[in-house]
Amino acid sequence: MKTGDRIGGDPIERLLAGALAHRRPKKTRRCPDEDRLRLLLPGQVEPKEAEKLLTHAAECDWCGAVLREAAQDLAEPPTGEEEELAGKGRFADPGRRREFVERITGGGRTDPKPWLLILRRPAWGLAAAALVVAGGGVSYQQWARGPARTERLLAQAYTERRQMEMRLPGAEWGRVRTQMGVESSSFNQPLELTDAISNIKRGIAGHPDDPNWLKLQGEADLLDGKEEAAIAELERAHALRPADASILLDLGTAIFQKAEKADDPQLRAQAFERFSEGWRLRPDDPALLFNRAVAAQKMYAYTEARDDWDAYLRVDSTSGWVQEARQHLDEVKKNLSGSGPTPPAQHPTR
Amino acid sequence: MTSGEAGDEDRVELPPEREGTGTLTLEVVEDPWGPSSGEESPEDLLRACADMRDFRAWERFLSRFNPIIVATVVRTSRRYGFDGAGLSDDLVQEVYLKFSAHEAKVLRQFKPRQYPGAVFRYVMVIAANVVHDHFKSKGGKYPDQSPLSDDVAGPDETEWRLLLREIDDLLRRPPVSERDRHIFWFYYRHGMSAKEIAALSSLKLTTEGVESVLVRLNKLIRSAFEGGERQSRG
Repeated sequence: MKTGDRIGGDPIERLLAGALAHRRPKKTRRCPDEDRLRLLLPGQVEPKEAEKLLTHAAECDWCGAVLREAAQDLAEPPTGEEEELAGKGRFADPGRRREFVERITGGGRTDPKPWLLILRRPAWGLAAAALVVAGGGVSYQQWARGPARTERLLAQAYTERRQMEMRLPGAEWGRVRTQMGVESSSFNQPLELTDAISNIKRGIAGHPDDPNWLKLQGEADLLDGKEEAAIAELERAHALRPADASILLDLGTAIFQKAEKADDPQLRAQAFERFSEGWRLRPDDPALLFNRAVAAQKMYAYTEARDDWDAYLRVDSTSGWVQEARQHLDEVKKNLSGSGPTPPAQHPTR
Repeated sequence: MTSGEAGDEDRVELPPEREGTGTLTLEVVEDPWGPSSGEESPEDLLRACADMRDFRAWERFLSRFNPIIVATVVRTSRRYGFDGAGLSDDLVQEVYLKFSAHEAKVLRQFKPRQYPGAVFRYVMVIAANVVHDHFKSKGGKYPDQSPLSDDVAGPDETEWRLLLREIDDLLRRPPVSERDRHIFWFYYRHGMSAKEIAALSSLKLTTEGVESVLVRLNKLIRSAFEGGERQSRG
């Protein structure tokens, strides 16, 4: 059979009419990452990969549509109406822009005191004024739903059902329990975690950009086994408050938990780096020393692990964590002396 | 450089649906993305912002890119049926956080290339990706791009799919390049305009270059089908 001998009529017209009637955008497993596909617009994909993406998109109704919409939305500079909208937005005001830039660049070097920045924000200033006028401090309800209490609840939930080797800030020691074959259900959660999540939801709704609440949200997701979500939230908190060692502690822990699940040495190295950043800010923080030592040990970096366990036992000699730290130190020393089990051949890059 | 590549086409025929209006002369127009005279180039600004300690560069970044980020956030949010100004502000802030995260990793990843407006499009794509991620994380359903309508009169689907295959077989033979085959399907299957196709910088073509490719392939297909019909009648 030769081209065109089956049916009559103009092939281009039939093609267009059929495309309108039968195009079926449906995402399949073979579809590439949409974020990557959109990078074809600014030409940020290497030629070989671009060729692959274009070939797929040309033949896939879903990816073709993703590309079409991206081209429609992103090919033109802002219209007059959009410029006007931008002029009314939060970042049109130079003062707010400057304040935001100070926050993301960690511009605390030349900034006024943080409490002054808080009072500069109109909404927070009003809230602070309202508290002063009330004269009686915070109510029980405010306290029960506040970040300090929520942090305590999370720490208790962690201790009650500890599911990871890593530590959470402020949490007391608890035995590691692994859940084998148990369906993840909210009914299995400790009550403290349920209460904390409820507080966090309220807190985030009222203060979506508060690094304290974002940090607590990350911790709650971590306890709930949602490392991906935890990493995203903690990274946001870290971007808002880059010099906060406890955020770096949680972020490192979330990345480490993900590394453990995926058995990914590079992720472990990333987690170690986060702990190190936190440690540089607070060199005597027991939880940071503890978690960094665990990460180093898992990376077969025994010398670093030994130094961190030694440092840990110098700053903590009384808590429930001490026994665990000593056991780790003994294990590391055995490995260093050659009497421990042989580590796998692969050595992660530090 | 093959025919139709950016810069070498000055007279091209219009695609078939616009035939009858003659030929188009390519005019030199002002680059809407270009910096004003004396202003630092957007590439230089991005480079400066890759250093998170450069407070002033970040102030300039927000001042310069805010309108295009707002426009992108608004356009992309509309795809999910949202049009709220309050939501836009929060999403715009998310975009800036994305740019600044990991010591401005996204900015450091930008590869300077010689495409007009590449920096602006890069900023817009990153902003759009943040908005898509936001709505997807909230369980927002990406709307169907092409709802099927029962009253659209078209050929039978099997017949149409056979036609697609026949045309694709033709386009996979020399002298048609793989790039031109992509362009043909973006236009005739996915409904992209020549301008939208040319916005894909990876193709390295102007709108006129895309139109020229379409006209050429159109003729090739029509003559192949006419030849096939004549042979089967003969």
